[in-house]
Amino acid sequence: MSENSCSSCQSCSDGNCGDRLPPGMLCQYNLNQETSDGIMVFIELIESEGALRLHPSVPGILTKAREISDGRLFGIIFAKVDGKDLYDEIFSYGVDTLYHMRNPKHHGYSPRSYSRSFSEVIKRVGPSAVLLPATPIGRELAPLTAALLETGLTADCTDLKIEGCRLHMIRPALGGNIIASIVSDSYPNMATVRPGAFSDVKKETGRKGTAISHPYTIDEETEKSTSDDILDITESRILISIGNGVRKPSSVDYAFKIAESIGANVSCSRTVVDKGWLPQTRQVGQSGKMVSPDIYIAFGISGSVQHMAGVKAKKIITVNKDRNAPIASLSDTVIVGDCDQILRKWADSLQN
Amino acid sequence: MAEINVVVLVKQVPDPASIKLSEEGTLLRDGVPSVIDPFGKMALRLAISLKKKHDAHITAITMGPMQASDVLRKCLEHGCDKAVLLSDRKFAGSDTWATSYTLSKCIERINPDLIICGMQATDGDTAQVPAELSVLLDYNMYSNVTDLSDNLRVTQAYEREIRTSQMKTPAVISVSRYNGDAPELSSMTDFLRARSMDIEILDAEALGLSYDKIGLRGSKTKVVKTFTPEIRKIETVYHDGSDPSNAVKILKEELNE
Amino acid sequence: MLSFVPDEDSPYTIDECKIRGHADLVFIPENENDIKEILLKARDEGKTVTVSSMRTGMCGGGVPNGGYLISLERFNRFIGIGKDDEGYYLRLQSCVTIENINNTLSLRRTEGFIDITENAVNDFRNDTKSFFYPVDPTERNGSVGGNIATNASGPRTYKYGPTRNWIKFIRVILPTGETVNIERGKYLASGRKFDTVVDGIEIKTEIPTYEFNKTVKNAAGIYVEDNMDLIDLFIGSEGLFGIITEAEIRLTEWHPLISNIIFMPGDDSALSLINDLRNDTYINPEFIEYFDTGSIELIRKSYSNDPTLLNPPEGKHSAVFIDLSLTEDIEERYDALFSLIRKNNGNPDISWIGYEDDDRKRMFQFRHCVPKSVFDYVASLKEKMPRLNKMGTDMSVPQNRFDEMMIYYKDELEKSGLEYVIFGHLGNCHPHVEIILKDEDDLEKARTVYRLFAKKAIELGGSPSAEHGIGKLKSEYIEIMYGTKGVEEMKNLKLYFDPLNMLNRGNIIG
Repeated sequence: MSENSCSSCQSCSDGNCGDRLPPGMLCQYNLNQETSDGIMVFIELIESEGALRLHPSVPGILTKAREISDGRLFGIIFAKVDGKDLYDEIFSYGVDTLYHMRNPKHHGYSPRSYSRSFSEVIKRVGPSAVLLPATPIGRELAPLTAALLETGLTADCTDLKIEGCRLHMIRPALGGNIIASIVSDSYPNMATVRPGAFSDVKKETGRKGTAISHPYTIDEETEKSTSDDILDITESRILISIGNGVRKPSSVDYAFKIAESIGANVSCSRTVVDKGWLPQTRQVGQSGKMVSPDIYIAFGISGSVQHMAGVKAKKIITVNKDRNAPIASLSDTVIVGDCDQILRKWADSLQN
Repeated sequence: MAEINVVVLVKQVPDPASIKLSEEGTLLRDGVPSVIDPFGKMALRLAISLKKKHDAHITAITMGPMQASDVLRKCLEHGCDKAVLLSDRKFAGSDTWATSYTLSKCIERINPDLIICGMQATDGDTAQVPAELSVLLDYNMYSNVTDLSDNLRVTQAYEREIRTSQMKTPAVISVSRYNGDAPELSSMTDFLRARSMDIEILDAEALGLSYDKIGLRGSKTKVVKTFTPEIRKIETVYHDGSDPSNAVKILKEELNE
Repeated sequence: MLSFVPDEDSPYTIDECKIRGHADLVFIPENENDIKEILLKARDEGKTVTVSSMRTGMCGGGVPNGGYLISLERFNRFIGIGKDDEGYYLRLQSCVTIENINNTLSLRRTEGFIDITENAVNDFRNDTKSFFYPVDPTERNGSVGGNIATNASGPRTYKYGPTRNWIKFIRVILPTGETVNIERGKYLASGRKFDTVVDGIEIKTEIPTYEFNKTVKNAAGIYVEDNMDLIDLFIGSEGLFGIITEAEIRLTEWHPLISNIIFMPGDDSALSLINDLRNDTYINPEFIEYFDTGSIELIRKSYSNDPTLLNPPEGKHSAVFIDLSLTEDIEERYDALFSLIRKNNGNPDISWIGYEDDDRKRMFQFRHCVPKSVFDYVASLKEKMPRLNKMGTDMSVPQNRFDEMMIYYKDELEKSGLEYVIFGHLGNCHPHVEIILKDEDDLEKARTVYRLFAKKAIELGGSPSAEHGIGKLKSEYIEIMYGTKGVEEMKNLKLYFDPLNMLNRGNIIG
């Protein structure tokens, strides 16, 4: 292992920061059950309908971080003053110290400003490991920050383990056919974690922590227009997923009708996005989203390696013309039949 | 408008459309042809689309074994002006950091206004190289790009929002999706022209790279072991759905279980 | 074994020409015994039996007209690989699709294959060369059994001939329920008479005396010739004599190909380029396909509905589609090709090439778009006009009469005022004329010109059905071609194998 000097304390001792430094964080440690002390998690926030909330993947990541470390758990949020409303919830998932990065002109994610402020905080705190959700934002912020820190980064982890005093970052490779266990020689160890990978959440209501308010600089200007399709498929318990075997565009309407009646959402495979039938925000798979619903109903999805890499469902029901489609052997139930006809029949049956 | 100097980065991967799984769940790569990774292909088309309105000079770069020159040939076919292959056995085992470092040293010499790459390659899926490059070269970073207009307004699609902004160069853009009108297939004349063009091949020495910064030695992360995932053993139940009404009945029963 | 009463709109009682049939029961047999059981049951109950697999047919051959329908969909396994003097061959069940065959071969997915000859599977896996099954009906989702029963062909027939040339062996369940294994070269007729014993079953019958037209691409009627091979009687007989359950197909060495779609300024320039290509011996395309300007416009329309397709370049174009083998001398052959293109007022810049799988797949999808958009259009009209079906010609003529036939097509179509597109396999002088019907009046007009075309094709020494077969749509041409005597002879042969006229009734001979 490499000997890391403690640069963070120097940056603090010059008195610039003005924030309280948590004890025990002046050195970087190997992450070890005996000596480990410190994981920092980027807490992604979602602003929808004027309200601020945690990205759904965050509680699972915080719970996991608590589980693998006896040390302190740090969180970082970027928000205006209303970020305070989330403190209690964040502490309840085990965060000890929360950095609340504030700027009156804060207007959401900005890669340059976030990565610069984030890397400065990391340098100061010196955690052994830094975790981010592997969302589009996390997947951009993480490499920017890692490069600024000149540290290694492992993307899209599906599991984290401590083995032999080292953090093993476990991720699927080659479309999920091989699982690779990766360690980093540079500190902090950094990883992004797949949304949905850690679904266990431990919550301790009333738990207390320390919040540190910290200004950050904004140096970018962007215009944003929010997409109107903001229902997140990763949050649905039941997904009706449409693939290339669905031939008629009208079937997509039927799928939405059915979804509405059974409390599901509609997702799809890559080709359906390519055809322009559904937006990419609804795409499941390697180039789309990782979903972990209770029930995944796959209509006309052949089950390519790339698609299945994004599906982690408790139960898979497949409707397909081809009983030998690769997805069949991965499914609990396979109904061999015509997708368009079955979707139509199902939607029709709702009216009666 | 002044000439824009563009670098497009592509990667050669086994054709994702042809990769299949064996019944035991292992990857079958026998006979699978190599192609430009799908996101790189979008990046290439986006780069080529700049040629319509701007006097763009495009250099295609890839890092890989000598066979990777095939994908550069493809880039030349599509209209790139120059192609560079970074190939050296010493590059083997590079993680994203070592890859970004190696690429940055080559790109520095070209000093482009714009670096266009795919969001991620389908073999590694890390999506880290573009951002790391932007930091190493001190370029602006635009990820999840879906469009770049003629007057260089860039559109990015994040999970819940679409952003547009005026691109500030120098910049790295990573393309997550591109549906623009650049032709998807090259012509017979393109094919012949590309065959007659040279591909520049550079190794670590030519780039003046020190060996402890590249390949496995220069990597900050290491794969310590790999294993095949435990496949959930499933007793699949098959139903005949030839009769749609019966199929719907089964579906409803399954949902209620 | 699964059986059920099909819905009115069941996918089991329709094929690609959108003829809607009906059946009392659909059976999905798991094995040969199940098939025998169905045949015996049908015999006892006096029912007819229609056989279908992927239902990609174009003239209703697999569409039932009452009675029982057998769907062979569970006969979809590969069996093994063998090797003899002519190279490798693949043994498989009849419902494996052409696409699946070639994917499996290119990825060498031979797990579970048995050695038909010693060590053949291993040799194949480790062979430095790659192999493929070259018959390429444009519909790659069709089954190999269906391809054999109809002697399917396609663009590549230009170079490789039709299905018949590639079939080494078939296993057939006869209408009586007996099973025979027919190896090519083993059971030959003497003149026009079979007198042989196959697996203990005597086959002793006269065969029709007419001349089967082999000078053009031809799928009309039962194939006969002097001293013919018994296997050839079954190939292309549209299921009249038995149910194919297994086959051995020959493979050939795969070589890299480059696909080219050349856009030409108009129909005449494209046709003239094709003529030049047919007469050229150096460029040597694997096939020559033609799209008239109307076809390209049709593709443009499909693109607006499905942006995953390729969009044709702006402006009015016809197109010529050829595959070339990607060999050392490709640059010289392109030079020759470019001068032919320029001579015919074309521009080699306005073209597409593809040599990666994905690009080539998309080019073939582009080609397939023309018939597909006609099918989709017909399917959408059919809801309003149930009598409608697809009106596409499938006629070939000898090369020296081709121009005459093209002029005849255009003249008659212009006279009738019908809308149409012309595309297809011009390497084999075999274009498809698709009539785009708008109302019931058009249907009558179309039927009239169709009959004129068929008669003209026969008159010029061609075939009214080069590729799609006769099925239940075109039996009227059989009598025109073969006369009353020919039809009688075919019927007699049918009754020899199937005394109750139970199997696939309605195909070819009505």
